[in-house]
Amino acid sequence: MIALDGDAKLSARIDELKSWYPDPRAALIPALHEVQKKLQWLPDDAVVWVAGKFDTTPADVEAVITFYDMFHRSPRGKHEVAVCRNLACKATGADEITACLEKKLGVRVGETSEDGEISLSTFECLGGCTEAPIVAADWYYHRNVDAAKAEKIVDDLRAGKPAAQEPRGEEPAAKDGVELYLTRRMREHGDGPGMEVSLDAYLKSDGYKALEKALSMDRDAVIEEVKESGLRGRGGAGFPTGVKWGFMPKEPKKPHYLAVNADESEPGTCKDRLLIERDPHSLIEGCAISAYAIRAEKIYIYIRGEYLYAAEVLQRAIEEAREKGYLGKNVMGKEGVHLDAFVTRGAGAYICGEETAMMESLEGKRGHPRPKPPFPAQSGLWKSPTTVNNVETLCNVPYIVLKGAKWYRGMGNEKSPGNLLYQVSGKVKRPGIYEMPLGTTAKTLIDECAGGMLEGYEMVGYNPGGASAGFFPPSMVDVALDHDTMKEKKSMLGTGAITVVDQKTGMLPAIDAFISFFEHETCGQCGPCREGCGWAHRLMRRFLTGRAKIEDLDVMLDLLDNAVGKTICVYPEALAGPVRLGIEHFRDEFERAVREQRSAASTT
Amino acid sequence: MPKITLNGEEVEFQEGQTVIEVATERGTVVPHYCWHPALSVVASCRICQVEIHGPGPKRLATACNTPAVDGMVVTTESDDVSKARAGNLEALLLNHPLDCPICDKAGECWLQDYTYEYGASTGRNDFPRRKLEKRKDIADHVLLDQERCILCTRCVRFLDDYAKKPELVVTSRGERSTIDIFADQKVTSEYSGNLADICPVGALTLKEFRFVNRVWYLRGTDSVCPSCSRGCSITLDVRDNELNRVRPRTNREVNGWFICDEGRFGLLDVYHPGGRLEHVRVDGDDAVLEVAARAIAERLKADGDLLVLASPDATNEELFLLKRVVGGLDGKATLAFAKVETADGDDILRTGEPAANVAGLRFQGFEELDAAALKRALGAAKTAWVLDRNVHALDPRPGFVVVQAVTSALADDADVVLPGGTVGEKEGTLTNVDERLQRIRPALKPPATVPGDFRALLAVGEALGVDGLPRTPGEAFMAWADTFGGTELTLAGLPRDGLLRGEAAAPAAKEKQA
Repeated sequence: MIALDGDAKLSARIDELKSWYPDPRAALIPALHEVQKKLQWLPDDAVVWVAGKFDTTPADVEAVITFYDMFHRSPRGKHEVAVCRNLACKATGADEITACLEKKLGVRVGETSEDGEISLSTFECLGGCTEAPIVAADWYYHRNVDAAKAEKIVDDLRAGKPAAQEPRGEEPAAKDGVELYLTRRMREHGDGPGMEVSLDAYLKSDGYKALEKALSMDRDAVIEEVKESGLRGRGGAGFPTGVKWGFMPKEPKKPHYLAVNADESEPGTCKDRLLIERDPHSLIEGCAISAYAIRAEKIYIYIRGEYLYAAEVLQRAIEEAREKGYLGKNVMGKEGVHLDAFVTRGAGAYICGEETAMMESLEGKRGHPRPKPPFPAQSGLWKSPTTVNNVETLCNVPYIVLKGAKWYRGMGNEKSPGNLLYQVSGKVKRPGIYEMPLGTTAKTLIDECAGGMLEGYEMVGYNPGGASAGFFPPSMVDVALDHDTMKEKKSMLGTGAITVVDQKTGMLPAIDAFISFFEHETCGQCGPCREGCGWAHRLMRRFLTGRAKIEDLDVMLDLLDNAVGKTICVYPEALAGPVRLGIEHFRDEFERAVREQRSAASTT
Repeated sequence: MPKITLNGEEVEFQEGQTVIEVATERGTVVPHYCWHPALSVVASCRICQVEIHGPGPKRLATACNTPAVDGMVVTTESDDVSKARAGNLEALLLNHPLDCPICDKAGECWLQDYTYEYGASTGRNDFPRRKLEKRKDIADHVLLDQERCILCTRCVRFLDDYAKKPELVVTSRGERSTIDIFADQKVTSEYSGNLADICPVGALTLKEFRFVNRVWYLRGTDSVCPSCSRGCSITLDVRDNELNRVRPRTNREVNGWFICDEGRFGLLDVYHPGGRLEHVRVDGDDAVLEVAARAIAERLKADGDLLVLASPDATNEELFLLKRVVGGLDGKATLAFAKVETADGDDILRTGEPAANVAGLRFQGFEELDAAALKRALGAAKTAWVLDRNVHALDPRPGFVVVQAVTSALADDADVVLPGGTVGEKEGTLTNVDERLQRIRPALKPPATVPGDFRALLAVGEALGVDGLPRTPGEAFMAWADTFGGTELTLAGLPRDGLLRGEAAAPAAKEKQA
């Protein structure tokens, strides 16, 4: 393709990206981002061109492109405007914004305005739930958008004003008596242009002291300290972090890797974005300590493609850290310890938050989860031992190293120590991200932290930990949100995302929003999941649109039984959250829908 | 050796084998779609789930990626297994078009087979089925029906792992996933026909077999592909003496599970050649075989200096008989064959040497003649007996010419014409490029007036009065085997991987077509 061939800068950029990875193929998705940035979409000849750059067939590249929602194989406008369509944004008016933009632009979702300026799309959860509704303009986020603000976003783009991230709001006040550590720095030292903690401010507030301390310790002593702390992974599964690190070989035969999961996409979840955007160095410090402990030199941070601004903040912070020797050769003067970190953007696929799918995506492929065994610690990235840790998990690490496991265990409860970033969204008075000890109840979070429901809104149920955690009725607001209690309640702590469902949104549409999400995001490898998600979604839609039968609920439960535990990854278990708990706790809503649909049918 | 207990029986296994490999080797069939012994393991179809009773808790696990470990207890069928498979099949059939009555795969479709065995008798889906492309032209020989596809990705991995060119891929995601090519770039692999074989359902079918026949009317005969000296194991599917389809036959020693397109599609013509010689002729007139044989015998007795140009597609038994027939002649008989023109092969199967039994010719001492040597030999000979259909001209032409072939450009000019047979009509053995002996069986009958090669040679031998000639290919094989020390060998008992030299005739493991 002549336009691409003539672009020496683009080719040089692709070559640079390739040099980041042991296998240049891993640069495919970043390279596609670069090409699409230039052309707005990926026409046939661009696919052929990229295939040539990566020494493969265009079909192989096509397979990757079409897996990811952010890539386009049909012409797009100069600017991309995306409205979040998942629960928190839906509850706060996203549908109205979409309708308003459709009218203003004279297009339907998925189309481009006649002047070729703006393409409109809706996206699954954009990770701004506590600042809902979110509208992204060329992937820079605008928060708390209403119709007027949405129109202005479009007008500004048309007027040629460069898209930029709207600064975050102040974090809501912490609850009295809670010892903050994860969010303390950003509250007290957020002096950067986007309110982020600059490297200077970070250093002034004990930044990189933990890394210095860790480097003075034996690697295994670091692992022991983290084990001792009881830190459990914050990505959803809650696996003990120190134990996971301990699975890595002690005498590397192949390079070890730390893969950082910043693919935060679980509906309701927006904590990792906060940490990255406002305190990037604490993530980098956590990464460096972890990499040191597990004998890795390369850190690959996989961040969801939609988090463009966060990726930029992180990239700048990495460059600063490299300059100051917190990354690079002989880190902080420690002979023989070499660390480097790279940010790889995904391109819009929730499944890439599953650790093995993330590794596939990082390697430049479709995000298909891998069968386990082998586990990442045996064979992960490029078949090498790999540890995958979530952003928030790693942000805990410097504090544990600096202040000790004992200090850490003073927060939370015995089996779930530490603080968690609980995210409260929906029609509450003060939606926000609250750093609270693990085991805090939903009641405390909703009523005390978030100030209760907004005037005129009543809670009809809530999602206690991200879409996979399903729904609880209001009668269950006293449940302690920690790993083991949530498991007892047939749910999961998940990501600590609490989305309150109000009576105007309604439980069935809320359940549908999650099932619809899982239908949209299943990777499609395994038959029972691929077909089951679609079927469940179609059955669910009938409860909203008519012709539902109460037996449909049995079919939904049954198709889940046929999938749960029988597929490569635990995706059906995630779908089971809203389906099983939805039916268990809200069966009367389903029954009422059937009754109302029948009586409506008999009167017309 | 480590052991697992498989359905109650102790079975030894090699370290590194998976449960499905152990089971398959032993002849226990575990249903599978995505697993194929020649392809990478993805474990995505989930139909091969079996019950593992330990070590560890009792659980269902996919047999294709579960490594066998010493002491493991496995059952391949149980209530839980059946339920899992039934649930899986319900999902796979959810959007399947169920157009079995007009599907070429019907009868050998694993979606049919497993549904028959495990599936529910009624469907619960009352939504319209997904509409996708039903006859997409994705390769010169192959059509794709996206609606029938169950996304096992065997085709994708075949082109990526085996043919080394990922031209067919999964596009899109989730329920919207389909197998597809890029834009209009069709699959260029010379092995594309295998896509239809490895497709466990009717998603990839051969244009050449489209609506040709129901598979259950076909009779399959084991044979060997003569299109190059690799000698791939094949099955000839015949109905009413018409070759309808050529399929690879699993033979790990030779071709694994696959064959090239040239072999697969070329044989349809090779075995039903246009302009076939159908009548024995002497001096341009139709004659019976005995008359022709006598004419040849008289000529050979009267005037020696015979040049035999044997066919590189002849069986070893025909070559052996040929040698015996001319062995007793008084005059000089040169046993030779015209050098086979080679083309580029590949590093997969195709050798580039387009003949079935060149190694057999060499082994039996036939002299290879290049163009110049052939000219010299023709100049020296008084009689030429040309059994090679690819010899198109005789320069100079000896005084007497016998043509024995399926087709020949020389026939009109020949003194005697003996119609030969195709490889598909013969019984006997061929020797491949690695000197591996392989048996072929007759799948097709020649026209009634065609004597075929073995019978024609026998008739000439009898006319010459040669004693003790083998009367059948089986006898010829044993007599020939005696000459190189294979005294224990019989044609019927010929193992699949019988080597001509070296470690002869070790019995091969039985393999079911995967």
